[in-house]
Amino acid sequence: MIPSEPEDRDVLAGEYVLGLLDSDAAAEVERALGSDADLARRVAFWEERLLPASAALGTTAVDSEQWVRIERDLATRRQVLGRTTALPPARPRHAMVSAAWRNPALWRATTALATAAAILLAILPNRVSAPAESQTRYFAILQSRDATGQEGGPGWLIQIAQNGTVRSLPLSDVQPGSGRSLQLWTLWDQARGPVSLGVLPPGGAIRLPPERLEAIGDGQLFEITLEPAAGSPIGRPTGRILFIGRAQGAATQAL
Amino acid sequence: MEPFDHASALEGCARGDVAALRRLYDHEAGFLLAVALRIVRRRELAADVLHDAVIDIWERAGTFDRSRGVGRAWITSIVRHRALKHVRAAGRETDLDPAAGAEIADDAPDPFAALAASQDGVRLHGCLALLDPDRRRVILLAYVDGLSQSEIADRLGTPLGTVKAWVRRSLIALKDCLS
Repeated sequence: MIPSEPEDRDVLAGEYVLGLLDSDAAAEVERALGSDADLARRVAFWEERLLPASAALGTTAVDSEQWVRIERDLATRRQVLGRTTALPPARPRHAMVSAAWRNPALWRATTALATAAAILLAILPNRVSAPAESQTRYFAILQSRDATGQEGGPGWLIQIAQNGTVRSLPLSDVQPGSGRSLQLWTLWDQARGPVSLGVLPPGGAIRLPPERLEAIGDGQLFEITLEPAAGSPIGRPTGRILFIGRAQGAATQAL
Repeated sequence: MEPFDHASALEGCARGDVAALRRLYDHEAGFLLAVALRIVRRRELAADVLHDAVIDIWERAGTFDRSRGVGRAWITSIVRHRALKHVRAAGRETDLDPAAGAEIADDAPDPFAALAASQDGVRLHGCLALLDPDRRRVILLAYVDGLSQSEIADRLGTPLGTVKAWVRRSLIALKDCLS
């Protein structure tokens, strides 16, 4: 039971931080921390005041392989969870909407495609992952995303032709900075994770041969991440997402 | 040490920014590994603890609130809890056997002496100095070495009930001094 006397609460918080509680008592404190702000403050007090005793130990050399392992593990987790679930739940949408208003043509195109996609998804819910041999032509309008993860309106256009040729067209001028590059990825199989379509050349426009794209379907995720100049060294996105969006089946007429 | 903005890095992690995690890792991995190693005493285990803790930090960063705590204390606490879970689950008796060769036994710095020399440790050092040496040791064996109360009782050759009473009184005295 969590005590109510301040002194007892300080002792309990201190024992918790010292690691002296048995697992049941520690679990009880952890459960209480979510709703008991006073106890959380007392725990934070000990964590902060005792920290110098840890800091006084100095540092230990870390094996460079350690980060590679962590990165691999994170990539696997993101695949399992799906990349978009890592976003905070309450994403401010007004920024995206206002940016789109400044771009009326794109706004209309996005809205029309989004509506079409919504209808398509409603009619054909089992076609979200379409088979690789799909004959449909697709678009993906990628939304730009700033360093804080907020979307800033349409920033990139991906077009997939009938025969599988992929065209990448930036809608604004994007400089990755020296020693960095932009890398295009697509995800159609959560179990496999994002697959690289290649590092984009300066300017970002590129036309990829049909064999580069193994699969394409409605809702297929495309994203562009910031990577080292030679591209991600681990075959998975490592930098932040600059542009992200999903493929949507287009009308049969030419652009 | 140049100031590092732990809170901003954690907020970046909460947004799914791997680069923010990398910055935090580059800055703190060596320190966090030292914390873990002191508790689990084997490099291989300490590396596992650091790995799991970094994943924890990434996944729980959304619960970090800069208005309620200091980022460095928050991440250190995650590493300590991971390390403690490891040693409590494994049952550490064999690891503490001197013959089993705890890897850090010989060159482990005395945290009380190290505190006196560290810039931000002066206050904690001063408050710990007010405690009887045995009671001070109890606090540091628990916090720095991650020993349980019964392990501390064995180590000091003191009855468990006495250790528990020392912990309580020491915490009350420290709270008063550190507030």
